[in-house]
Amino acid sequence: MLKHVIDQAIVEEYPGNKDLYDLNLGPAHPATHGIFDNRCKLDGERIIEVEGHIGYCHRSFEKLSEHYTYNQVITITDRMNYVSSMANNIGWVLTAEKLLGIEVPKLVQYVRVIIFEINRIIDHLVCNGILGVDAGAYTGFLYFFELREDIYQMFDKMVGARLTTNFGRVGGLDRPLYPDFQKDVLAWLEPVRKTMKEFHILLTRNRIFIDRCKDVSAISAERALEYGFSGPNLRATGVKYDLRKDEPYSSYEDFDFDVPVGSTGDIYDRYMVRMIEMEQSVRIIEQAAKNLPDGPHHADVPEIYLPEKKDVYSNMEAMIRHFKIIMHGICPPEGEVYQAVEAPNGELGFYCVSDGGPNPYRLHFRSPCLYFYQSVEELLKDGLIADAILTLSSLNAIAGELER
Amino acid sequence: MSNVELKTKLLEDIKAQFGDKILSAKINYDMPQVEIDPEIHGEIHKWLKDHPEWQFNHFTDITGVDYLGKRDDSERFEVIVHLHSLSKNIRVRTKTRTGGENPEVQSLINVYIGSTWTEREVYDMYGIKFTDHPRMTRLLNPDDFEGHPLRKDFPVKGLHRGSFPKGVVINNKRREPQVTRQTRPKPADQMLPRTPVEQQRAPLREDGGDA
Repeated sequence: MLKHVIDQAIVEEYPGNKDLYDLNLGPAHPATHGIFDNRCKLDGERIIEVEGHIGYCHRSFEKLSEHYTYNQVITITDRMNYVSSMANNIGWVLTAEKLLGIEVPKLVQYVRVIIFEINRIIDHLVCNGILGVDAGAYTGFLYFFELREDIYQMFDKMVGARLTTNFGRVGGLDRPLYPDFQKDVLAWLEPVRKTMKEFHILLTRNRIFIDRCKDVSAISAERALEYGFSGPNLRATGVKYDLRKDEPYSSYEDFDFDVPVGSTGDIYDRYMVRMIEMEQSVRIIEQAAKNLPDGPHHADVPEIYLPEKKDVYSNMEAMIRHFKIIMHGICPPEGEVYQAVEAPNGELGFYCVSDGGPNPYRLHFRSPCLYFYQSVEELLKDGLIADAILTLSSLNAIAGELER
Repeated sequence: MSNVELKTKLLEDIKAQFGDKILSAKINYDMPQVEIDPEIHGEIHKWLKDHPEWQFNHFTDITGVDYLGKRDDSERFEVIVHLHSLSKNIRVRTKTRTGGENPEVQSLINVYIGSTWTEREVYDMYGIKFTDHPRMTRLLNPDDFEGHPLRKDFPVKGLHRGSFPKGVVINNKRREPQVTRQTRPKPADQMLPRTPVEQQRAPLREDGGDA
């Protein structure tokens, strides 16, 4: 709104960027939600030029994973998108299983779907909550964090950790489900629905919020595809691209859900796509948890999946396998795969090259954040600083995933 | 048309267009994959994007692999591009070999704007220069970083013992830190005695101080 008024007022151009004010938005700015450095050139409140600098959180995961075994890489993927760590774990485990050609039991696939969607909900909760905080509405953030705390306690019961979960192994789950898993998941959905309703009342039709978000930092569908956008940010531009529908993995084809799309690709569309996606995730979790099949918690692949500890002490074959897996690792055949999953932020891809050894010869993480974050130089240009803050939080770039 | 037929047709279309510039074409683990001559690296991606039937308009991924010791030094690197077609819902992978003293590949920045930062990452990690890229600088590592970390001959521990050298970088020039009473390294005789294993090691820093 205000932008158009200022655009009209400023007619002169700036030869050689003289008389402009330099401002570093970041790297340790509370509103960037991560360690991003945006070097802006300002004229008053208007941003004339932005140069993005990243790399402050680079931990060389791709180099490290060339020296880890296939199961050790799971711990690395936790630390990529730390807001929804289990989604990354599942993505990597699926990649390794594709390389090895393992078909996991239906129970494992359903549990992975449930966990994946729970992670999508908590990721979107944080993103939309923080979008509200940056727009000046702190209340919704606290509503959402209560839900997040409940689910972290469930993760604690399930895998023994809250944030760095290390969930799943190549070939199945790391341990059997705890007895009340199904009940806990279904009981969690009721407060989610209630809080979503309250959040809609607080923000969705809020006049101030709409004025701040509508038509700000919009991007067209063609441009977004050229940049390599994916996930909610791409769907907000009107492209119906969802890997859960287009390339179903882990039994996503069994569930009935809709894919929301926006029209203009502005901040409000991104917000709404995320809100509706959460409602659809609740639907998927409900279907999966109610129809949870019985069965073993891992595939029958003794040379890949560790045997039970009591068998290792009493059974000769189990002890040999345990020794082989620990000492030699899993050795997939030579080849290369690309497996992509619909992570909360977008298409999280794993490109893995195997030379037949126990470590990946090359492992590349296709992080969704890197591809849409490079567009900030275009999105922030000619906008206001206040809009820049909202743009950065609505894109939901996570530093750990961006820089790996 | 089934999925496998579609992928086979895509590979045949590419072979018919570019002929002997395509070194190999096959379906590798459900992904159509073509190895191409470095000359047509820019051309083939533009053709794939603008083709009225295939429309590979979704830029998915660009990365590199180092095959040091497995291949000849003149073609040790591979630049790998993944593209996705929304209308047909299939993917394609292209591979371009490069190597030698100054590895170079054509930039895709005029075809896909999404290669602005990602090609810089490949340059940062492998030292492969992308010609016609307007800002071929490092992306993740600092500007004065030595070497290219994802090359197979780069050690995991890094080239230097301890952490990065002390000092601050302003305008790409390293300013040496001011030596004050607090930061001056202690003389060797005032330092705590090291364990026998530590004594065998070289000092962590050139000035004798600890990291």
